[in-house]
Amino acid sequence: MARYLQIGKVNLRLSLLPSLLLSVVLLHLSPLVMGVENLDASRTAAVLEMFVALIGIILITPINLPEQNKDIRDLVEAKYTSITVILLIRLIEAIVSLAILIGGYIIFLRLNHCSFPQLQFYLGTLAEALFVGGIGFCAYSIFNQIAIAYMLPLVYYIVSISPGRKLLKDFYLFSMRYGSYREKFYLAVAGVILIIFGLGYPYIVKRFLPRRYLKNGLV
Amino acid sequence: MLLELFLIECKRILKCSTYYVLIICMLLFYITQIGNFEMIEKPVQGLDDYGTRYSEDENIIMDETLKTIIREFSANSYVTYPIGFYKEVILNEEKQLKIAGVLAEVTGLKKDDLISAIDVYYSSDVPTREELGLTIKEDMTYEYFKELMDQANQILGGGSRYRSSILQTNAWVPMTYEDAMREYNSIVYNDHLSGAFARLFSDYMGIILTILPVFLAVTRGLRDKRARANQVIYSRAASSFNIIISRYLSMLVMIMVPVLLMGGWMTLQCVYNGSGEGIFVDVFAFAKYTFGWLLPGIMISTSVGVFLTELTETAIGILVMGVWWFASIFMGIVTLRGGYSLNLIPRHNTLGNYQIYQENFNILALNRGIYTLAAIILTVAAVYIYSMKRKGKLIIHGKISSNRKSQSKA
Repeated sequence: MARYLQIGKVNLRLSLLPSLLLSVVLLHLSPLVMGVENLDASRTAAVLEMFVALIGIILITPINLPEQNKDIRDLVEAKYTSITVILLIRLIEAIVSLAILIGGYIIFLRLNHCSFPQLQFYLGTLAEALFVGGIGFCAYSIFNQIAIAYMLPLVYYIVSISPGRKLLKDFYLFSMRYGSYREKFYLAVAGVILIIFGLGYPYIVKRFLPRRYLKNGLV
Repeated sequence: MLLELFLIECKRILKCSTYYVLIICMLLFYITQIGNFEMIEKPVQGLDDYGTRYSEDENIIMDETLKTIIREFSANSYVTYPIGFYKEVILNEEKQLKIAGVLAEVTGLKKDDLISAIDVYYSSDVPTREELGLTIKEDMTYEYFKELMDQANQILGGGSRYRSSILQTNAWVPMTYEDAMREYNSIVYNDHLSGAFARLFSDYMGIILTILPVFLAVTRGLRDKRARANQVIYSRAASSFNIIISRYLSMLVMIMVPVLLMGGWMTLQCVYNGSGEGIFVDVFAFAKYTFGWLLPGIMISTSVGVFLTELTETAIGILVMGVWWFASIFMGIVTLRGGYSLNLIPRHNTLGNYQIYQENFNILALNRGIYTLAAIILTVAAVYIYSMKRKGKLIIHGKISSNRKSQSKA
């Protein structure tokens, strides 16, 4: 247990801290450019779904980033503690940070006299953040490219903005604006599946793909 | 040498998975947004609804704007969209009085009379707005009205509906048959059909093509670092200019190819439909808009990626471009149907509206010119940074200040 705590401490400082700071800065800047006072439910949902949930991409996507360098990846894989455990610790830290930041923002909105169903909006925003972060994390595992990992969730977000609801149906990102929470359930489940797939993908590849693909990832 | 390197870079891009993901994303966006666009039909007489349009009548624009600002002044609750998100602005007494001053100038009433007239107007149904004098004063010119509204916008902190550039959006009016015919004729004779569709194409594709290129640029920039090929490339005879510019141009060309193909496909559809209606179609419209409207956006996005990746050897370019894109896309919501500004992503989310395009063409040209110039400057700066690194300077390995005394690696 002490070992895992130590890993968590080091990861928090070296891996999570930049993303965490960036998320905090973005959330702090939001009152400068958007209304966060006296909002009704629909407008509160717009702020949470279209802005706050994006920190999921910032916090969850770069979980694999420290192992981008093949030498470091080889070194970490050679250690006694499995790389999956390390990734899992990072993931838990990222998700806990996400939950705290979104929770803090919900309280902040409530203190600013916004009227909205707090628990539903909290869980809905968390589900969306988990989903977009999950896309990024999974994409990184598959392509081993940070650019693709950020590109895919962002494109999903862009598609959601315009034809969104009709096209994405149960996986539409901004449903709370229309008072619907069903989509958030699907997003949460899909987010968890994507993260599990992202974690398991290296093992699937090692087991089923020829060795030539393993040398430098798929790229 | 430049051409040789350029071809090598194009081949490298063809082997890069980011490029294919980028094309898939672009295609997905194209199909979902404009893949099945409907051709225009000549309006027929006797319909109940021909849609709506912004009024061009300056008196209507001034009157509708005045109505809105009086209502918001009375409630001391002003709607603004600083970056496209709703923001309610509540003014303190001093600023409310400044707004009252602006309204007094617009109506010709004294400030105190104006405030009490507004109070009466909203507390009772009896006196009409006209009876209370809450109308535009007789000698008010549209130019001066715009100036006053800009002042009001400034007092509100910007992003309000009183910006002079978007005053027209306060005055929606229903279209008549004659209006619909005028719009149809404008698309047929001014835009030669394809021009109107090319603007719509540029509007949609501009959204995605201002962000996607940065991903390719960052991937390309980080590739040498990942492969630890920097030292080998640094020692080559090719100049820094040739290396960076060939990379930059190859990315531009490889991104432009699928965009031009999509434009070509839409041109064919326009020609097919236009010939059936006997409409002369401008076959070069999509190419003109792609180079004039979309290319500067692709250039700036790519150059931000190239410059910041060369400078920091990290993916920070994605974050910078992402934040810029996010702010631009939501700020553009206010001028969605044309009007333009210096926004990174000019919008024209409507078919036709040629008059707005024509009236604001200079602003659009200035906008695209500025971003083209900025892209060139950033790329030249990237060349400079690259050449410095070849001389052993600015090699940072993640820390900008750590290597001032590093030796030449070349």
